[in-house]
Amino acid sequence: MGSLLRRTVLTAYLDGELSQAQQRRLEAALERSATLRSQLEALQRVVHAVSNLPEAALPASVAESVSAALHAKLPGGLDSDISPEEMDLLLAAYAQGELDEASSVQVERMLLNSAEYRGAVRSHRRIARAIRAFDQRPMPPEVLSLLLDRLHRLIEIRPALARGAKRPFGELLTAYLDSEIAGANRRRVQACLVENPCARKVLDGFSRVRDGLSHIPRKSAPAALMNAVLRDLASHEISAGRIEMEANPEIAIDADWVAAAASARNRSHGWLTLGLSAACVVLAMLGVWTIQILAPEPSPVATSLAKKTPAKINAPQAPPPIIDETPLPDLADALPPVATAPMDDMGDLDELAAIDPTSLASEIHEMQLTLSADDVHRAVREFKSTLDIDFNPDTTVEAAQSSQPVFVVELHGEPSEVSLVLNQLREMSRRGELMNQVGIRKPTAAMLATMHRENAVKPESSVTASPTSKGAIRVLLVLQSKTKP
Amino acid sequence: MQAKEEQLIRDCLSGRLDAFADLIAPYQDRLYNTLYRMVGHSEDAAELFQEAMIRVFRGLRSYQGDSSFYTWLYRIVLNVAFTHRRRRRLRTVSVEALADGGTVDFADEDVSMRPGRTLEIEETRGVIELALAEIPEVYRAVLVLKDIEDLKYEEIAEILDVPIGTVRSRLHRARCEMKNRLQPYLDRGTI
Repeated sequence: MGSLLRRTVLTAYLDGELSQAQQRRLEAALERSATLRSQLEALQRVVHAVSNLPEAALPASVAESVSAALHAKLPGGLDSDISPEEMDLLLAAYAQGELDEASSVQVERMLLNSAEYRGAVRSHRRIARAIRAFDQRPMPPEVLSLLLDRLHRLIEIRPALARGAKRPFGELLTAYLDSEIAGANRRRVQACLVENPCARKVLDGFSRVRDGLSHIPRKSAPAALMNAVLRDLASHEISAGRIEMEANPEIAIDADWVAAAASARNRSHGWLTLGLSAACVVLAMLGVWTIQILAPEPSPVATSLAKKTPAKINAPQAPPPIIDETPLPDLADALPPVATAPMDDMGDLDELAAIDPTSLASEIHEMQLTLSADDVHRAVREFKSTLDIDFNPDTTVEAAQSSQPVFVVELHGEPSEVSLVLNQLREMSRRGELMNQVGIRKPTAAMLATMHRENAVKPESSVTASPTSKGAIRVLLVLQSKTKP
Repeated sequence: MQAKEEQLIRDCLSGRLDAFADLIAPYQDRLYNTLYRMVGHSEDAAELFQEAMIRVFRGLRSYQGDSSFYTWLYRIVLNVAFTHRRRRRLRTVSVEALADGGTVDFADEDVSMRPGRTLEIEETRGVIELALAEIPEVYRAVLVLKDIEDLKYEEIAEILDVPIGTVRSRLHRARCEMKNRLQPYLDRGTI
């Protein structure tokens, strides 16, 4: 039997850990061997000496702090985010019998579920026994001081344990990163970062995430966005009579226009009927329609187009147009620019030679709506209910035979009312009440060239029976279909 | 509140839309960016911006100056964002899947931000944006306000109308969520 094995067996014998058969065999051997007996006696003396050592007591203040901290942690149950260090401290306290009954029960529940924790408790017990087996020599003061210092710091850097604080340490770490904590909390986090590489790693991760977020590209508001807001506000607030606007060139709403809109606020909308009714009826026939708003003075191109267009009018002939000399507000700029239509839809550009697109751009914009017939009917009902407008199908002006029919109707009315109709269409689309989105785009000369080529615009289309008044505007709606109705 | 802002608000209340433009101008890019980061799409952000600004204009009369003007603005903007039902779903591809070599199809995303239809995983910004879009909205809000807009906890608490402790807690959880999603990139050192 080797010496190590021998000592192990003798130790087990002294501790009463051998089975009866093993015990009998060992006792037989002891009778035969004086050496073995001598070794057993030596072991007995050691055990006796060790068992008579006084217990080394933890300093009262430390024990109290640890106990208080553990109690603070335990009442709500053991938190899942308890750190390994905290758990080890808890298990050590349990192994040394320093927990109260309730806390001990909770720890025991954990022990049932974790072999790792059970192993830790066994380890703590062995350590405790070993400590008790030390000589009675007092611990060197410097060692004791160092030990106490480390214990205090351990408690200090874990506010949740030391102070019973409710905030998890991670939140303090986050706040530390953002420079949102100061004083004692800040010092505690700093101390923890010095001591704990895990905390440093977490902080580093947070810091990199924060830096990453702060460097993703910032999106600026599109240039036209605020203008769109102001336009919406203008149409809503003026029509509701809530505001009196002042001129602002940036939002492209003329002061006279606004004044006229405001003064006309309470007037009847009936005189808008004629042109609008024509527009809406035509809309009902179209899958795609386009509205162009023109200045009161027909542009050279429009005049040119009109002269070339043969007349074919379903509606009764209207009286000659009444030309209003009032300067037109620049409604063109009031409409937000959107993507242009595909050029290949616009036909041959050869005839553009005689047209100056830049002169058109300042006075024409188009709003293109892709609507179903049901959408149009719904829009008409909406207009009727909100604007009290009657629609007269007899005023429809229809284009000549064309592969891409164009319908032209003139609206002659107060700018606020015309604007209201257009905005209402857009609003209905935005609310999803129309089948398709409303798009607004800059006019293209190509489209006008198409109209020109196809002789789609007729002079009669600019005729309207509507009365004029100061501040009224003339709006020419050009309704164009990309497909035959 | 600054005297200039007070005057502009008074002008707005007297019906001057141009004053409203001046009042919003210093904040409009930040507000728009906040909306953009909340909804992840420029068209939606623009639409919500308009809606929010109309609310702001109409609410000016009720603004008492109890909070700073810009926190009041942010509150309205975020309320609009929270109540917004997205017309376009945010991408649901996980960042972890990307880390394994996958790609994301951004076909429905803002083309100005996504020049191509796919985004390679090495594009760190895209990955961060994706992770941001994936985390719950309440966490996203505090992250946007803190890490992108660089507001103080107190201001965020005022905007969201929650205690500072809640801000701290949400921010911590938000960063944990982000960190978990971005862990492969953090490990590689690409973030």
